[in-house]
Amino acid sequence: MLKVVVGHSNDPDSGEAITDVLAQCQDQLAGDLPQAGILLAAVDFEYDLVLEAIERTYPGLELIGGTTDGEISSVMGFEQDSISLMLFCSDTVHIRAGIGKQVSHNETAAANTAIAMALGDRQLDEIQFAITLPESLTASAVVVLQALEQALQGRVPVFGGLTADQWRFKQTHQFYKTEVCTDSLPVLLFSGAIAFGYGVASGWQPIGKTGTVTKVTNNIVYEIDNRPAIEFYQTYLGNRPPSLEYPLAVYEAGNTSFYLRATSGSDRPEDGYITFFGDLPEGAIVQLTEANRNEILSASELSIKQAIERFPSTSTPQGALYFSCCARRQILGSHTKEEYSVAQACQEQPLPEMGFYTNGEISPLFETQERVCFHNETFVTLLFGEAV
Amino acid sequence: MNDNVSVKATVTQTSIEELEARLKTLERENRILQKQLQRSYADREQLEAATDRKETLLRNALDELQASQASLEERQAALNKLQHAQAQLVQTEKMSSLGQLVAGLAHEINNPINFIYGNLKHLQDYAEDLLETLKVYRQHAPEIDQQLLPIEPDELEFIAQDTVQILQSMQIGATRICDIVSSLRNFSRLDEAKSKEGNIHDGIDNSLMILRYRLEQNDRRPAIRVIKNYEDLPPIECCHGQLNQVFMNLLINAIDAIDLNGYDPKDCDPSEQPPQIEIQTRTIDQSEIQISISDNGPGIPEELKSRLFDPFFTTKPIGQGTGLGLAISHEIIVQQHQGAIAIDSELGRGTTFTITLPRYPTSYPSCNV
Repeated sequence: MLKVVVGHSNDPDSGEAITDVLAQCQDQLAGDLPQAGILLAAVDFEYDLVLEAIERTYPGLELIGGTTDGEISSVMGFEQDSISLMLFCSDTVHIRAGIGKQVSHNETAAANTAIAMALGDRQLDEIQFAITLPESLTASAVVVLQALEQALQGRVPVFGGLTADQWRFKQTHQFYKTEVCTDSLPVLLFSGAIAFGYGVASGWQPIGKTGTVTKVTNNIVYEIDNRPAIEFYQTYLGNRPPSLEYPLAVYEAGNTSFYLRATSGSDRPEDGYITFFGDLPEGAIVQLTEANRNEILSASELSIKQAIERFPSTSTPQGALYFSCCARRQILGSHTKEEYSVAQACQEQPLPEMGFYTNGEISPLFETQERVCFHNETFVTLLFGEAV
Repeated sequence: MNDNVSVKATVTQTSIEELEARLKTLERENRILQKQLQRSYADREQLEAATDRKETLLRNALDELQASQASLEERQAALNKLQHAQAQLVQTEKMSSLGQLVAGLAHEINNPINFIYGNLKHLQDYAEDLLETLKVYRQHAPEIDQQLLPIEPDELEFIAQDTVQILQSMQIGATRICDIVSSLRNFSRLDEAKSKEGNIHDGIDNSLMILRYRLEQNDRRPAIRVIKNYEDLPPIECCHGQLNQVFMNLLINAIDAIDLNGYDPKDCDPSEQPPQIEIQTRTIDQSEIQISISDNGPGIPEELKSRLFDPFFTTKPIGQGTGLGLAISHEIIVQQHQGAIAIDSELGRGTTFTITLPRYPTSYPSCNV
């Protein structure tokens, strides 16, 4: 048996909001006790108070969470400045949380700690998939995810999104049980009888001339075409700083397909370099990209349809998680709620669903069979249900 | 009494609880609305910034596109110019060599033919005198022994008559050679470095004279009939050598087009129009004249028309066409003479090239082609 419930409140008062959320969950649980959960919160809440309330209600809950750029749930649809909680009850699926701290100092140690904690007495082979909500601003997401992949020995598919702070790019928070953390890597590991399907799509298209990355250190690009990297953006955006909604299409040597790398928005234009959420290789060809609403919504639909198609036909989806890039919300504006409407329209029956707008998405890449991949500007869908 | 008080107290308590609940709900709604208002302001600012970025991006992308398009057009224009220059160079070299060859040939033939042509008259006079003298001898000395004569008297009569005819044929042949030499010299016009006032018809006729062998019947078709509808044109100022080149190119194309029909004179349908080229000239007004050269060949497909004047574009088999004839003709008519050249073609019906020329162009760069 797997039971998934969701609570969601947009009350700005932290105490009232979590009370409301827990009451909704209690109603749906009907006496069942959850073993794990995911908490998504906007930036202005009193997280300690919220986490303590959850712990009081469900002592020992295996909980992870983080701050967002907008929350989605089957209870309220798209909201900003809200709190959403998803809880999992099951006697056949085993879920356990772990966290690694100071990820910017030592990503390998942080990943190893998080996985060791989340594994508990289980073997790695038992793990079906992982969900993670890592820090986005202090470390290169690609490096962090490489460490995570190494800790999972490349065997476990990982889904999730980088925590966000409502387009402020100052500080994000991660949650582990009752702890409010920064610069951390919280992880939930799922084992047992759980089936899943996933999809990922973007909608961004290249525009303008190409350039070559001539000087780069991990996720900091110093020069493009031997000129300060900022000039590449200034050709199109004038004196405005590089923005997340205009990521670079990155073409690696001899490759005609591209992946996207978005700027973290944390640099000063006068420095000339640009920090991205993920790494770029030296010598890669880059090109600015842009998207419009229709392309974004079409990509969301594609992502959900992929997940439905890849879900095992012997099982039935019982819940869904969505990880959508905050740049999508930025461009969609008041149409953001349509992205969730598209998701709902694709499902055969209403599911308990939750998701958030992230600073970067994490999902395996179906085409290359890579288990852990970092994306920008995408919509990631994860459907799950009890395996039959 | 006490019961009433108790009921009232309960009612009041319930009302207070309801009011408190209502108040709580209102407070909650107020909090949410206030937060949404704050969010709305923040969103509006973000949206304005996003719109500003989008506008700038699109404007710059558009500028870049326009610049790149302009650069592409410039490059295309430069390429066209280069191709024209290259075509002109090739054609100049070709025509220069051909002109020198023709002029040299004309000069070399001119001297011996002048010996022949100039002396034929004397030869005719001498022959007439000799024959007249022989006639007198025969009349006044009939007693001469016939055995002493190298030919029979009947033969002598035949030789006398045939000599006159041979000399007349030689006269005609020599005159024709003189005409051809004159046409060749006129066609090449190497001696002319400046434009001159002159008759267009001479240039067309010279070209036809040079192409005469190609107009004759061959094993694929009967002779091409040339119909000339010449109006009485006023003289125009032009580079005759250059215009002759244009007439030559257009006439060669017309003949090539007719040859493409694969006309078989043995299976010739009498009702079918025989191959023909029609040349029409007319005065448009005081300042312009027009020349049309039409053939009844297969015509030109619509999709090829726009490329006909491109340098190096040809539909002829490899080795038969350079693709320069029409490009150079266009250059000579439009650039050098400030005229126009147009094409009218219908599949299965034929093609007409129409040249319009000003009688007095404002300037000529050079007549040296």
